[in-house]
Amino acid sequence: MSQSDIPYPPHLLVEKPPYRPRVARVGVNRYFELAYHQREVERIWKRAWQWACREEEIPEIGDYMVYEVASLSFIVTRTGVNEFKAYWNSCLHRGRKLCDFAGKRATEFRCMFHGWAWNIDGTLKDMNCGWDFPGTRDEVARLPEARTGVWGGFVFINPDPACEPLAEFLGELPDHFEGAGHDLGRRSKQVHATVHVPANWKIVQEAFLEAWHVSHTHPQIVRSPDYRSVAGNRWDDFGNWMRSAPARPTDQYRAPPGYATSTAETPQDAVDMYWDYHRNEDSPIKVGPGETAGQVIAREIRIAQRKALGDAVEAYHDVHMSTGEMVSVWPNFHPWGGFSRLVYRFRPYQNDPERSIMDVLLMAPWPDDRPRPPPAPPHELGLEDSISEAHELGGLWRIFQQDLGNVAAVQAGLQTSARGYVILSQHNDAPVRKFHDMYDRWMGSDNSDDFIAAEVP
Amino acid sequence: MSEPGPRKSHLRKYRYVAFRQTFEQQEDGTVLVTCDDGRVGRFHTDGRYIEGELTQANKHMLIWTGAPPQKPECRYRWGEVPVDISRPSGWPEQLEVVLHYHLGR
Ligand code: FES
Ligand SMILES: [Fe+2]
Repeated sequence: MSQSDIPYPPHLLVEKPPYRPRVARVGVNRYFELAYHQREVERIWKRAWQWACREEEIPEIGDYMVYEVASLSFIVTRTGVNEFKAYWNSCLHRGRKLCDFAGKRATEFRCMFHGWAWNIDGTLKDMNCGWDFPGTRDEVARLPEARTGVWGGFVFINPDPACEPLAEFLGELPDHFEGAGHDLGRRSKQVHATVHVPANWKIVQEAFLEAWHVSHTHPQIVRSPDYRSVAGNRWDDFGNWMRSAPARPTDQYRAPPGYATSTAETPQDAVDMYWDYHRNEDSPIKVGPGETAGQVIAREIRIAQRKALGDAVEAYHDVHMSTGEMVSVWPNFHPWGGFSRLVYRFRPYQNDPERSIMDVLLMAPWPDDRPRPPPAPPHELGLEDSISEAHELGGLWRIFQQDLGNVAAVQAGLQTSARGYVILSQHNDAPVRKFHDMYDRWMGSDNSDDFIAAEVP
Repeated sequence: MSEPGPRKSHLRKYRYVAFRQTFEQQEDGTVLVTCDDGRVGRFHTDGRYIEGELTQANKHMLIWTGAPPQKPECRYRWGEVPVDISRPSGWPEQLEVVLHYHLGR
């Protein structure tokens, strides 16, 4: 099949109204006050769908992972071929965590304090010295559960028993992945970095929500002139998630003033920047006469994807090669589309509103007829570690070094803010604004503008 | 992706068109910034000024230019992490060796 026979992917043409364009103000207290953190635990982390682990991380019945967010901990286990259950990780006797870490082929979850045990389906197995607890057997007969759901190989949990099913919550999301030839359930989790960050989870997430900062924080990857994918031109609001799609073929290149500064003077520069060949070395990838940087990039990436997918790669439109959708699912999950492979997750760390954990996955395309490699275990990088140790991220760690340098400084800057609020723009900050509108709604507070109006004279 | 061609130097050199500046990594770990109009300044990679007529430069370009060296085997874009579908680990042999510790295998 030649490229000209392949229609432009319909999911990238879907257009939603821009997210309520307006300037918004958001108070800074939510980024460091314990009261906000505690309310987030009650209002968000005990109620929202959140990605807990991958299906292939618990391939056999009884395999389990421990998923933690803020002060909450859950055991996520496989109880059937296609059945998952999640339990609050707390013994019903005197509250010890039932599982300290992940494990394999459990037949029970036995507490290491006084030995009470539950079967993997959550039913009571052994109430050690039960004679000493008259009248309580019923209330410990089942481990309290969180709801579970699976999408794209990601096992989600929701601690709220009254929540809507995951599929309803995600809405049209599958049209943009499995419906577009990118079933993340068939990908291989090739890289998983778990990065501890000295900043509130919202600050870290916001550094990855919008694309505008790229022009100043990552000037080395802004590669106009001829390269047309200016992420952030469109923000489409799908309800519980939002995306930025690549520019459509009919879109005029229209970088707003101050948006895309360029470090590329020629198409060859743009190609060199894409693969980070600097000017003291010769790039092996040459732009031919009449070629654009975008064409060369698509061609080379197709060659790379072919190593995994073989001829199947020819069924994909060029736009899949270098640019995917940036997708942000409330409250903290970011599976990117196309062949971009990236998945992010941002979580508060224990009860410290000034610490968080950022997970970064690279999901490699994998042929259907080959067994998948075991999923990469998380490479944990503590506060004292440098992201430069995550060699498996390839060129990505140098980019994260730029982002993470900002977030710690944002955490510090917000606490010495004279105004006590930040300003969010109508277009470029749209995904951040939407996040805070959702946040206010979930937290049960008024919208950001009202919130501030009460505080600012 | 093919290997980079012969290097003129192992030190990184980038041009930042928007500011009409060139960033050059130095042997001592600092970064030299040269403007098209001839002004020059030397900086630490965290943005602190050291010497020269040019006293300010984009911190992120300094980080980018002066970052620790990247393992040559790992100079891939995130959208094209190399795979070898015939190996149980899924990684090409060379990378499997380099990343052994990090991948916990
Ligand atoms: S706390 Fe679990 S058995 Fe006592
Ligand atoms: Fe960034």
